[in-house]
Amino acid sequence: MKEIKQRDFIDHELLGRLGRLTLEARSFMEGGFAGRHKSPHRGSSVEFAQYRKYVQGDDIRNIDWRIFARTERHYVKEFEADTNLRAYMVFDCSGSMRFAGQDGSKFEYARKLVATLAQLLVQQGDSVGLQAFNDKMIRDLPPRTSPKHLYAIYETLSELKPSGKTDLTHILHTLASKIKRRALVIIFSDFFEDVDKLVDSFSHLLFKKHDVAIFHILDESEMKFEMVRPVRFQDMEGGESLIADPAMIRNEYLEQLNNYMKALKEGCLSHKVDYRLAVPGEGAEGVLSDFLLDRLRGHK
Amino acid sequence: MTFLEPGLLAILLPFVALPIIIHFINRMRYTPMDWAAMEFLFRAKRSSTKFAKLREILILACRCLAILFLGLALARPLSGGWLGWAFSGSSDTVFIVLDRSNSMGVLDESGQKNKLEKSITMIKDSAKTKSQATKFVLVDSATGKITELESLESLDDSLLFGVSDSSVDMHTLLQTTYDYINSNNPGNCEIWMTGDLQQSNWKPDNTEWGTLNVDFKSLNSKINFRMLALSHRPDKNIAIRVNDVVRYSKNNKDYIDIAIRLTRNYTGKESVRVNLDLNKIETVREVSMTQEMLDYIHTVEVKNDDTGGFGSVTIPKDQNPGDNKYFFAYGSSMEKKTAVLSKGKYSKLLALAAAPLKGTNQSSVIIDENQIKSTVSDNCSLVIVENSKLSEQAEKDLLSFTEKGGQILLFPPLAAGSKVLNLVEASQVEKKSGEDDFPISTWDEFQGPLAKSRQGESLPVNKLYISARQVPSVSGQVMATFKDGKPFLSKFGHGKGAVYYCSSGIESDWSDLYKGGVLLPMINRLVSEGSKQYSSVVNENCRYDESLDKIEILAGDKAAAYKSLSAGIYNDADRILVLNRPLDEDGDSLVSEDTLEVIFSGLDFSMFNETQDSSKETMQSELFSLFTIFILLFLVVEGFLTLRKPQIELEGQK
Repeated sequence: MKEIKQRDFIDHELLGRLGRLTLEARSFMEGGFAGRHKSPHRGSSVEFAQYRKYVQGDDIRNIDWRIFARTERHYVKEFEADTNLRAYMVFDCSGSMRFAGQDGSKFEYARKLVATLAQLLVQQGDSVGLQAFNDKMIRDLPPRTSPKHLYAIYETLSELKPSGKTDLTHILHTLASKIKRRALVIIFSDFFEDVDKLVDSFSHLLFKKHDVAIFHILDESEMKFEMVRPVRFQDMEGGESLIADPAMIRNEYLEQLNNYMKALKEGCLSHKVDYRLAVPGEGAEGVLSDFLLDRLRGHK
Repeated sequence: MTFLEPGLLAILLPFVALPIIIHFINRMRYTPMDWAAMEFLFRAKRSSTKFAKLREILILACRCLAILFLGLALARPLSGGWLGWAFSGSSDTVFIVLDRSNSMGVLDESGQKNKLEKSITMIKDSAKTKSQATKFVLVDSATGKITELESLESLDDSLLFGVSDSSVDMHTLLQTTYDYINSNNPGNCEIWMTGDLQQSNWKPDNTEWGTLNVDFKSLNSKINFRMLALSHRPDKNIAIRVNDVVRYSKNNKDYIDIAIRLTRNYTGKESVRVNLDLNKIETVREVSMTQEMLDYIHTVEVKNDDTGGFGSVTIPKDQNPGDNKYFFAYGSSMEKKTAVLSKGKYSKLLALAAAPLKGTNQSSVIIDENQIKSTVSDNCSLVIVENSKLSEQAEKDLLSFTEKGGQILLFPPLAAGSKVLNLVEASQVEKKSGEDDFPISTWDEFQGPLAKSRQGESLPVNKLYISARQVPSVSGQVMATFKDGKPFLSKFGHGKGAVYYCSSGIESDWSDLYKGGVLLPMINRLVSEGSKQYSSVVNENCRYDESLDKIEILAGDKAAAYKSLSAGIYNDADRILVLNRPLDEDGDSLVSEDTLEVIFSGLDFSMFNETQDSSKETMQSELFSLFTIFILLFLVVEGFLTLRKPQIELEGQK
């Protein structure tokens, strides 16, 4: 008998509420099938794209004879090509994602976001892949459209455990080299890495014409740092520990965190990376609906 | 700085380290926590280390100091009050110059403790902080005795003796102290003086102060002078005294006039109940006071054969019970004779002035030089010498007369430059003509021949017209002065009596003294004064006299330790001795701190003026308050340092 796994990261009510929304790509996508997203290639959709001079080899059926009658020149009528979207869910499974505040761990929260977006994408006929990593790629499920594949993603998500160190930039550079066709790369991480290196890796993805969106997962307690008593901070990625009185270093910590977040956000904005701060305490619906709606409206 | 509770301080001091201990315990009791954003923590720790450590140290310091000052405050620091500075430092010997004069009997507002009791309490409390090796020596103002105290508890004996009715002479006491130090070499000394700063106690004009100051400076021992001044005066105080008791005959009946003076330190209409006890018969009279002083005469008729009696006047007890009673006595009736030695035309006038009424016990006789000896030996009270050049024998007889208590009133002209009676040397005669004269500006209205009348009226001394004068080259005790400061009436004490020299004559080309407005009362008072030598009643101020300890007490405090220091009536062989508080003790004048600084200039002197009616707590309140302020200050600083800075708004939260 097949074991029924608990998948609390799938929120059906949330999916119901977000089901009317679609995830739009902000740039051309190169899918394998016809879809709802614009392709860089000319296709056979009903939407006119442009006229182009006839060159040898073009299908003569595409020649616009009315233009020929007026100008006695051969022009080919081109139409937009619609394709499906291939989304890569890059999911940080390093030890730091295990950090849990009052509203659960960052890992669980991110997993919920991944699962919800994957479901939405599959529902609208797009392909979704899952790239779970820490300092190396743990699981790499290439984008597929089928519900079966979605099931495989769920399976994978339920099996993942956060551990180890992070090497996001390396993973992103690898992905940038590996993904041949234009795709939507959505990264779920706390991005506790060097901002410059991160922005470089985003640039690499963008250079490959990918649409990059990031969900910056930070817990409220990480952002407020409100502990009163001295704490022995143990690095969740296996580094050294530190004993400190939070009251004494609160402002310096927050200043460092703020500088980092500011740099990351500015780096994203300057490179047209879609930045979303996702706080577990604020729930998944808000951040996802904002993400989807902004894309629908064409916001950068 | 010293503490009344050093034991408590010793217990509390270790608690100063409590914040540091708690801090380290807290550091050890950290909570383990898995943390993701470690890089920021490391960076934060690195950048905050300098200031955070400094802040942490400051917070700990503030907490420790707050506890330290709390401990210090609870240990009752003494530096702020008399006790603190009086007992600071170590000394081998502490001299306690204790003022037990009458005015130290002033009660505090509660009416429970007088100044003497309070000063002893303060000294005893403070002395607790002295080392056990310190020797305490009591210099008693009343007896002038200097006693080494076996323990401070012996000071209570002074309380048993209580406030005396005597005065105090601080110079004499300090001279005694100096003599003791000089002969005993007691090491480093502190001299603690207690007192109410009465001007009369200090007599700052005494030229001997300078000598004493130099003497103290010359001592090898280090000496610190500490003055505990309890100078607050009672808010409302009335004092009573009998200025004079005069027995006289009138229409063959004998009377005694008791001149009573009430003084108070406030004004406003008030009825004062005066109880007069004469020969154990009490009479109560309500007298109305409107001014600060009231003089009135209580006249009592006595039998012609009454040989004398005594009594007292009393007013209700007030804040200063020491001046609410006064004793008096009178003797048998006797003739008061005045001899006028004058060759001038006003000799009869002078004789008349000395015995103005018939049917009284006053008489006068005009004599020549040869009659002096026989006259003065016959109950003579006063000899008036006017316009006469005295022979050597005459002078000898007159001086013999004054030695026994006789009074002489001397008028010019005198031979300029020569000494009369070996006391008075007159300068040249000065004259003015027309309207111009030598006006008199000041005179002693409280005692002596020019004092106010018994009814409290001033004599018209300033209205005298003086056209000629012959002032003495060397003035004695000045009783009245001209406007230019030269003496009009001088007193030269000799033996028990005195020679009064009036700088102007009675003849009309000298002055208008002959009119009698001033002359008559002046002569009469000198007659009364001179007659006292024959009286069986002797009025004295209370002052220590060991020889009087065994005399019989007729009225007063029978339990008094020293009779000579307790006001009362005493039967001393063939005389009645009336002892009362000195007039000085009723004075309100205080010696200023500046004056004391001058007296002790160049010496280590400090004064604590306990002006308020205060308890031990208020004596220390200054320092206690200061410590409390410090505690609050440290707590405020600590609170400020532990205040959270405004939280930085994170980029993502904007």
